[in-house]
Amino acid sequence: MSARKIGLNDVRDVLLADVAIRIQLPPSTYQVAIERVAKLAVWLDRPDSALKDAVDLVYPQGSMAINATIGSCLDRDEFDIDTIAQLNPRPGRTAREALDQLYRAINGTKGSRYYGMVRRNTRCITVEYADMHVDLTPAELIHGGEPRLSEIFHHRPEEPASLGRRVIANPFGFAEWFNDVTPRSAPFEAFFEAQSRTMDGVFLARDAAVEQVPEQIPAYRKPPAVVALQLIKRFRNVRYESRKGRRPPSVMLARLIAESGSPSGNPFDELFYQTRKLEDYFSAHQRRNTLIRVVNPCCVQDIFTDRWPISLEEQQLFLTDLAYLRSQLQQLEQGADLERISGVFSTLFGETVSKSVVTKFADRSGGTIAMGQLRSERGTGRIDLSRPGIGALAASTVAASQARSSPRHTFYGPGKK
Amino acid sequence: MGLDYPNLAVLHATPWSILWRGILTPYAQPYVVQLHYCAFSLQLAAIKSKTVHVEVLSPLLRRRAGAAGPEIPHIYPNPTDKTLPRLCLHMQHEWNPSMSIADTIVPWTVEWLAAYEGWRATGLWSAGGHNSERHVANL
Repeated sequence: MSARKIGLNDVRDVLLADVAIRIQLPPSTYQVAIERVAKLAVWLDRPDSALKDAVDLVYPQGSMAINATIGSCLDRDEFDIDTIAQLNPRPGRTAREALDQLYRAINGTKGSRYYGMVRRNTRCITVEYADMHVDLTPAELIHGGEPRLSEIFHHRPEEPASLGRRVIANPFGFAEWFNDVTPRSAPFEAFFEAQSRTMDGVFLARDAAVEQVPEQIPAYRKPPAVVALQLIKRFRNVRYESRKGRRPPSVMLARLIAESGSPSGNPFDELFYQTRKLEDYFSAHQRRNTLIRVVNPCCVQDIFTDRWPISLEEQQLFLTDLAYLRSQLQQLEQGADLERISGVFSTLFGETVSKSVVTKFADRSGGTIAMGQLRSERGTGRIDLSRPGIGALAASTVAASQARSSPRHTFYGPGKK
Repeated sequence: MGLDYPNLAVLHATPWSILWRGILTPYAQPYVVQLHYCAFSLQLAAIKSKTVHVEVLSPLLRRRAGAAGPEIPHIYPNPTDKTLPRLCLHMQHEWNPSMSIADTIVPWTVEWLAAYEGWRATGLWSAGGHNSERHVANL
């Protein structure tokens, strides 16, 4: 990639940000998720609950705690909301028992609120809604360690004879670490928030009975690395849609991306940088015939790669994906029209989302032209995307003296094609 | 013109005619464009008097979905070279030779190219124009 720095006024930045906004948990759904988690917390404490007075806290974990939640399906908006249900410590509680108890407490009796909506998994209980899944992972606090150092429970429901095992984890510590170490970029975050307002300007007040999940308005002011993480997770989901087996875990990607630092300050350069760093990391291991090993920086026993990759072939597959992502970005960097960008984005992030984003952009831009309000830069003709309604950039990178609008005019000739 | 758009070089100039050629990049795709103004009509070159004719030399303008796709909106044919249709940038009354080309024709060309990119990508010409449902420019 050339040393040319793409400014925040570049169409590739605007469209990448739009993709990130389109796939992320929207504010209204975020509010619904908070309300549902709050209701679940109350439900767990109802008089006839198997866990009455036994749940200390329900708090966000995983993507929800680092503002990186994206849709889990390619062609419909469906989100996984990850939470921890912190249980009173009870010596001798087996993993099977903890998971079964939480399952029973939520599922309740026939005809009750969640009956039939609940699924028992190996490490969590899932409550299924039409537009989201709320995962509650039971955990017990380990006293005397890092804040909220916990044991979670691992038991496969298809092995009822097994008692399962406890696994040490610290998702709270990881989220704190992630939010601390991820480099911030005020111009980028202003850009992303402004763009978010253009795409979805509704911000809702929150009122949750459980511990507050991260607020959505600050969540829009995302560091470049979080936006890159969202896009890379989406790319991974597209690549693994038709593959069997496990996907590279999100939490592993989150750690690698957070600590690689981000010097760019705009979506396109950030995504390219992070892709190249990941490719280098996986490539180095592949050359040495070693599997990567990524752990929670706040808890060395919390191994993020304990279930993926389990073979060099699995690792190579993802490395090949990363090389593909990098090559596609390099092609766009050389220059591309909207049609080309739409095509490349479709292969990287899915056709429905990409076409929707490009169509909305073209419509905004066309509307601005029709209104006689488009501004372009003298010298190159570069369109000023800083105007609200086109790019929604907070602070233009095109000097006001350079970008001018032109007298009104009417494209003549046949137009209805 | 030269001060505002140094990328557009004068290829040919006489007291009655001038030809510019250069690069404009509305978004992320550079286009080589050519602008030709002549005070007189030149029938052999299909040049109408006191009009700026704008052609896109590279990349060539293309229909959507190949040659059988719908025609490109807001162009008129170039009898001297069918691969270089001319851009319909304005109604006749909206421009006259007293107006600065750098302030009108060039930014209008940028707008046309942006609209063309949107049309190529989506199939919709959303930038308005004559005979368009989004004709709001002169309201």
